[in-house]
Amino acid sequence: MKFCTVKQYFDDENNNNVTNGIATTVIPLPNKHLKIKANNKEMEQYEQELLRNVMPQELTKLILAANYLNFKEALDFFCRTVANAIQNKSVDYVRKFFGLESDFEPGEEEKLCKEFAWSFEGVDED
Amino acid sequence: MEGGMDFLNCLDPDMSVQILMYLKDPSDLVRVSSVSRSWRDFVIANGLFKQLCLRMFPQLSRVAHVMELNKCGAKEPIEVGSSYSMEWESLARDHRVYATLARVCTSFHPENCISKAISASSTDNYPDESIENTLQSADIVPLPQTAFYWSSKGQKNPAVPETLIYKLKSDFCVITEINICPFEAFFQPGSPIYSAKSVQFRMGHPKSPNDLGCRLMGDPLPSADDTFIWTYTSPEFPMAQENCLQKFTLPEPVLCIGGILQIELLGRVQTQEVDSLFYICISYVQVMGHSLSPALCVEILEPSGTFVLKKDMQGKFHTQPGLPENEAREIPNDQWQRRIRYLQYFVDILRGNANVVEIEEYESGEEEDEAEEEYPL
Repeated sequence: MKFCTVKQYFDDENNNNVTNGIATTVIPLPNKHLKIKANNKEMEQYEQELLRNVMPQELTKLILAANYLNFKEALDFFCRTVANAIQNKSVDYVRKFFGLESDFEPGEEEKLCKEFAWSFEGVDED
Repeated sequence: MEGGMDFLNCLDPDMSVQILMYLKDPSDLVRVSSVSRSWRDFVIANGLFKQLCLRMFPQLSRVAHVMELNKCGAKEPIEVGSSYSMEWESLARDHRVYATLARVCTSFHPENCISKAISASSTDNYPDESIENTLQSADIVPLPQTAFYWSSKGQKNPAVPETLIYKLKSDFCVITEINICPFEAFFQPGSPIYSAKSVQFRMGHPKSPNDLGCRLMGDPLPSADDTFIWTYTSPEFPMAQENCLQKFTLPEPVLCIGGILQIELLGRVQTQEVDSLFYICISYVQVMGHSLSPALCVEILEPSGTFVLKKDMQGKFHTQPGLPENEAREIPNDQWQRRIRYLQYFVDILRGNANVVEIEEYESGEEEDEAEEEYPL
């Protein structure tokens, strides 16, 4: 049932949503999941490995692919991976991770830092 | 390929919300909103802090809206702005208030939040064995071999429950655990421990705030369910028949809106030898958590039963450990009365007037009471 969309994908030649590279990452996932479903620690290691190998920009594409393929477990997994990647990280790290620039006015960001001073302490080192 | 990495731009909002909702720590969400304007606006527009708080505390589901009080500096718009800007301002306010709430509820030093006892479902030998006695730990009472505890009335049927109701330090507290020490009657043969089989907790607010004002402590409330509205009911925890401070940690921290906490003691396990009736006796109760007032408070609107969450912009939060009990604070009236009772009891012992057991330390040793059964229970 999970793969009816996949079948459709292969049948549909003009498919721009999922490039081949992404497909090779997403499609083996169900087997991987089944194999290591019972073992949480292994899952964590797999997650770490994935994170190291996959560039942030690809994560977004992975999410889109998983969504298009209607593959819920992979979708949850990638979403969680993105969240874990930015957990307890500084604002600059998050910007670098996604390749973003700050578009705040000079005073605005300072104001935010002041109002929520408590959230800027104790972050991981970059 | 710019914009390809910013998932807020590429993914549809639901998915982006799903990603950000994996962030459980409010600090993470604040940092996310500090990345850029569009990220900040996304967090505000989708009410992510409100969603985070609602997930942590389902008790907030009755909050109809939030208010910021004593907001100096920022001028409230006098003229009626466009409905869009009003709505945005409302979302931004939600964002600020819920962020503060999430912050305080995830970083505090737990302390005992009981302010006073309200009532017990039944009391044997009032006032000697009243619920008041559960407010002071045995460590604090310096009198040797004395017993301060609450006792229920005796029952033939062990299934008859009892309830103890307390008022907390403020109307808005976050509670993480409740500690209860059952009483061991050391002066009775076999030192029986009058615990209960299990215990359950409820939190809520009085139906009508004025009801509690003037009634005698000894009278049980007509019906707790008629007097209070409960917004939280805990699971049932088994209780050990042990004379120690038993910790009952709630599965998740809970917001007590209204400042009322009820302990329901289910199932009796111990009979008293002299009358073969089942009793429950508790010597000490602690409710661990943190008061969120005065910086944050909740107003309960009647008759709708909805809440208004208010943040006082000038209110301070105490994230350091609270003052030790009984020190450097204005001592409320009932605590004075309790202390006077203790002192009176102490004086009675010295004069040989009280029924006591084994006070070897005092010269009036010959006044020792002969039979344990005479001890009031």
